[in-house]
Amino acid sequence: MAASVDETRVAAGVRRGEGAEGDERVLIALRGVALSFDTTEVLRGIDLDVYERETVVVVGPSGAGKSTILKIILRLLIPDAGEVVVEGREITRMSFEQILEVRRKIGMVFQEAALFDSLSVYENVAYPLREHMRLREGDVEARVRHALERVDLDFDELGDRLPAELSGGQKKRVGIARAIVHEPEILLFDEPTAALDPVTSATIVELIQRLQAGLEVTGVVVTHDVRVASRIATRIAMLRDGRIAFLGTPEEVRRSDDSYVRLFFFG
Amino acid sequence: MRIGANFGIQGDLRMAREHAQAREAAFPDRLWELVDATLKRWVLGVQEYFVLTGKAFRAIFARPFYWRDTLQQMDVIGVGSLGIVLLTGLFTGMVLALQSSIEMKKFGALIYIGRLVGASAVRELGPVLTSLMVAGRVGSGMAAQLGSMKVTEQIDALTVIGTDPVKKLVTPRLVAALIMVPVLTVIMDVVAILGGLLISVLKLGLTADLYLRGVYQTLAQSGFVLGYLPKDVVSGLVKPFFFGAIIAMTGCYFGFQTRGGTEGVGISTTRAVVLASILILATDYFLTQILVTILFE
Repeated sequence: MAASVDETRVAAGVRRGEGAEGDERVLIALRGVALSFDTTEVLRGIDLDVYERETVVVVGPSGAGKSTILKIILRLLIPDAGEVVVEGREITRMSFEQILEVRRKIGMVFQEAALFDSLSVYENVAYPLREHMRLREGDVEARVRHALERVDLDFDELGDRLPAELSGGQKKRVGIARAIVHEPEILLFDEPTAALDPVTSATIVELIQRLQAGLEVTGVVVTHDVRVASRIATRIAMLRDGRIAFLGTPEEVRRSDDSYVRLFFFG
Repeated sequence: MRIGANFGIQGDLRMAREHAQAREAAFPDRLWELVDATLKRWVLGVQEYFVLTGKAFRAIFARPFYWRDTLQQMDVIGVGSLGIVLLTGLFTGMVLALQSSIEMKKFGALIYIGRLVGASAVRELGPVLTSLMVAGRVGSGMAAQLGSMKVTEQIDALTVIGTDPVKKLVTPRLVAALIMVPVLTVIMDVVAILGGLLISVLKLGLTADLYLRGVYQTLAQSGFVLGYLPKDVVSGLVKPFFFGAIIAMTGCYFGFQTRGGTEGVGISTTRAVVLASILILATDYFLTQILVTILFE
């Protein structure tokens, strides 16, 4: 299934690409989402359904509004028009307390990790647990240790370090550990391999693949790296001029005869 | 053929002239648009400032309470600013005594130095100078710290984790400033009076008793609140609460408004200090007017 702009808008949320796994429950739905900053229209009617346990990768050129979509799903930004439904609940008109409840089910990995620079690695990863759960310190430590092990980091070696003492790759891993420590149902990644060398990028991609398999979470990944997109996506959504210009599986991307898609993915 | 015609220069010149004429014709409209946009931005900024202040005050009385963050900020504002407040107080008191002695000596009024230093320090210089010093040192720090958190998406990360950033970051700073700026003001008052004492005794030949009696008399003569608190002291302690709120809220507001990386952090820091200083001085006038009416008339 390789869809044109209009077909995609009509079909979004109705059908999935071949090879998609998991059941058919829509966990995240964007319907006619539009957003402008001052006079610049960034999104002009985005329709996108993300099904449970699939990973949708949003690609597009710089400034296309990819990260904006993640912020809208988290309601860090409220769209000018359209609906955003997460787990069956429309979030754009929710109260602050209600949206906190929704956010607790989401883990977010930021582009530059966004670790709290005054807290140690241990405190950073433990932060969501302390905010959401009343756990004994022993349980907090056990969960933090487990989360760090999942991202191949040594708790005993790095637990007391500050973010400033970590490499770019380590920061990204700690950011992932913080996002998964409270076992969210949805994981959002903003440019997971940005500013990393090719070797570290490859290990991060491998890590994301392992997490997808191990945690069975639903994922939305924003990237401009088409190789990363092809490796981790169940479906790929391509943004152009504030709209989804293409939505399909990596295989459909390879078969697509859309000139812009071919230019973007294959040069 | 005119010069330059071969190279399209005439065409370019004509276009430039037409463009300039069009700009000139549209000038009043563009000016109005500019004024309109600036005013709207300014009004929106004021509204956001007060909305943030309201949220921060409301959060003082709602769970969860971030006691550890509040104590940490009290340490940063109070203990951290102690050195600069002590130095400022000491030298202000010394200069005040020295400068006023020149004129007062002419009238044989040197014995009133204590009164002058006491009244000036407790009523005005203590609250205002303390607040300006704290605004420079702490207000800028708040703007820089929150600004850095904003541009590195740490504030977004807090929000995503489910923490209210106003409650976590702004309210502890506000509470700490509300407590510590008055405390620092009292310290500044005392040190300024001691600075004046030093000059009066060592340089002007007054006795310590005479100087301190003058300080007491000037504080006592304005009357007492509740029978034992001199009105001057009350007046000098009401102001720092307002100034503390101004310092914390201005620093936090500009921190939250930061855009565009490290350059944006620098701009926010500068704006926070400038606006806080102006607001402190302007608020001081209005508070003085109100306090004079309530306490002294």
